[in-house]
Amino acid sequence: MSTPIEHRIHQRRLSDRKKTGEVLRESDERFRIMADTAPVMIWMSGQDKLCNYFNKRWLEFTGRALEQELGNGWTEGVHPDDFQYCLKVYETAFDARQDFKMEYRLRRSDGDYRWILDHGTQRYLPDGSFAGYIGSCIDITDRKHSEDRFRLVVEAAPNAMIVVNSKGEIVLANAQVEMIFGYTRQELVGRPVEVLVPERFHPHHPGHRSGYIADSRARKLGAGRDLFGRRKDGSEVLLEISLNPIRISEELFVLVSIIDITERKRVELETIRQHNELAHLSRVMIAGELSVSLAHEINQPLTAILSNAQAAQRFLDYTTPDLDEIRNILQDIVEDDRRAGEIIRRLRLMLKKGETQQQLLDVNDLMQEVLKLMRSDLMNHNVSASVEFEPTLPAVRGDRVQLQQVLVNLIMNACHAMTDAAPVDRRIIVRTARSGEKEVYISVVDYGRGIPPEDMERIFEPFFSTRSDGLGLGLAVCRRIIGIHGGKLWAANNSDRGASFHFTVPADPEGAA
Amino acid sequence: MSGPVPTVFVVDDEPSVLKALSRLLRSARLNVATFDSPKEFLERHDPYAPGCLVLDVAMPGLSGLELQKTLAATGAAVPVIFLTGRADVPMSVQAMKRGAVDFLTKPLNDKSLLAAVRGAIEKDHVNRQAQAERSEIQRRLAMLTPREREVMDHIVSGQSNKQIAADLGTVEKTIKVHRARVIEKMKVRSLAELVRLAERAAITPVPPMA
Repeated sequence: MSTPIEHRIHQRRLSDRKKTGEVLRESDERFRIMADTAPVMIWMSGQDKLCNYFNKRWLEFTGRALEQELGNGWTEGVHPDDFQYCLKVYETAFDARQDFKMEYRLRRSDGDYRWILDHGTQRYLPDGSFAGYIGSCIDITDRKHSEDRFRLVVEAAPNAMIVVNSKGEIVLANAQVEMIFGYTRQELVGRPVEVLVPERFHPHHPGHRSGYIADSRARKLGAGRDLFGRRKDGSEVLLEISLNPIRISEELFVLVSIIDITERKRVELETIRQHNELAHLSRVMIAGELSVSLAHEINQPLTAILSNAQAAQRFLDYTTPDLDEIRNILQDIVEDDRRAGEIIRRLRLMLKKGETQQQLLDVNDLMQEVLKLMRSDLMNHNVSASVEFEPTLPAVRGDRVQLQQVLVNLIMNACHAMTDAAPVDRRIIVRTARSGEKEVYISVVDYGRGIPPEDMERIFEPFFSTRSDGLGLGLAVCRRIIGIHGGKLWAANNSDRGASFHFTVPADPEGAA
Repeated sequence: MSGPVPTVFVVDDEPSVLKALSRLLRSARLNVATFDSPKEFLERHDPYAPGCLVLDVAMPGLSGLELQKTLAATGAAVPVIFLTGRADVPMSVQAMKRGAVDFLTKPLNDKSLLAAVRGAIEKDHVNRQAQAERSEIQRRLAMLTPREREVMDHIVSGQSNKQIAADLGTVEKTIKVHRARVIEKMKVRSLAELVRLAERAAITPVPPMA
């Protein structure tokens, strides 16, 4: 008995002696065994474009006999919608002697159409002459379905979404994209994504894009700055954009989610504009209240200037005028004029209208400025102010005018709360402190009548006023200003008498006081 | 005018205004003393020094009006010129009622200030003369015996010696002696002069008995 290997060796020795025809028949047989056991469907065609072979797996798939499939018989199983496409791809490639790849639906033995990915490769005889094509097919229906599902999700998404490949070409866009940009999907697919970017950003955009591909993470674009898109008609649109990398069969795509924030931005700007208007109105009212004492305050340097000037005129009439005296007088006139100018500057700052300006501020300085502005008003109310300042206060970032407005408002309210108080009690304490490392804490303490508990929150509502001459906007505006600065404003009654208003403003992380 | 040189006392809490007013008054060759608060003025002020007071109404602590009140209470009746930042009618009325000579609004014109100051100094001078005269009369009155004083009170009300004698229950001759003593001690030459003196000293005449 010989072993199977010995048997095969024996067979080969035998075949060595066989004729060439026999050898060919044998290699043909081997191919058939291999083709029939391969996990893919295989077909072959000849120089006449007609198919002359289908493997077992193909025939099992279609459930048809080889004779039915040969020639052009197999095309009977192709989905009617894909037939023309299939034929075109095959014939074009064949005539050009090129390998090809096509996706089409093929009827399975159970009658279902399945998506097939078909790779066709040219084949040649040993003598180098063209012999036709050999093709291998796999069932990609499951992949196709998940792709379809992905398409559906993108389509149904409430946001505009586009998918961009690693070359920056748009491969998918949904209906929302059409609405925002005014392009149809057909116009977009296959074109570089820069078509949706305003031209002024074009020089840098491909660089940003490849930067993202190199380090792709899901993220929002343009933190803290406005992003613009370009519509088909050339107009620009304000956008919020987030990027998500997705991998589909080894290729990296970027899913771009786009929201048109033009309206949102408009509403935001309108809200800010209204707030600024209201804040300004409130400042005008404050300035109106302060004007009496400010007029007095400006009157002092004016008085000194006039008396000094008239004194100088008289001194000059002396037979031997004292020039040193006159020099001193002129020096004082200059200083008093500066002082009057400074008061006017403070008032003008208070009345300033327009955009808020963010800057680093030292709250202690701010407070001193305000107390200077209110010096004569405090005197008019017979109120003395004492300060308790934390010397090492961190700087805050904010709008000088609006924060001063809050301080003026609170001090003014404190004065009004003490009109009935005995003169010795008419005092306020202005205090600054740090609350942790992250906040500056400011208090204005009075010794007045206090706040009825039921009004503790209502005082911050617009048009709530306990005074007949007040509009009731002051505290509402103050709370909004502090809110915009990222802080809190609240009131509390003191344990002994009077009330305190407290507010916080976040310390600037970069700023030192 | 004789005696010590009158001084303008200026009280204002605003240093630059105080300095400027002082210069203006000095430029008009007036003697000036400055005080930056009513409190300082009260501590340093000599009530016997002639002159006038220029006082800012609105000052922290003791206000100008309160200072005026305090001075009036101590009998130091120096004429006051008030300065104010704004024309405040009720306040000026109150100040004038208490004897302020003027109420000027800042910024001041030199002419009105200097006119007011000169007027006030003149008034102070007159006041002080009257005050000196009153003191002299009081000094002379103090030299009279109680009986002589009684007789004088009757004389200035215009009664005859006879009537006085009847009132006081004595004889006419005694009254004549007292009258001569009164005329001598009061340093007057006539009855009319004595009556004028009594008026100045604010002596109430005794009404004749029914």
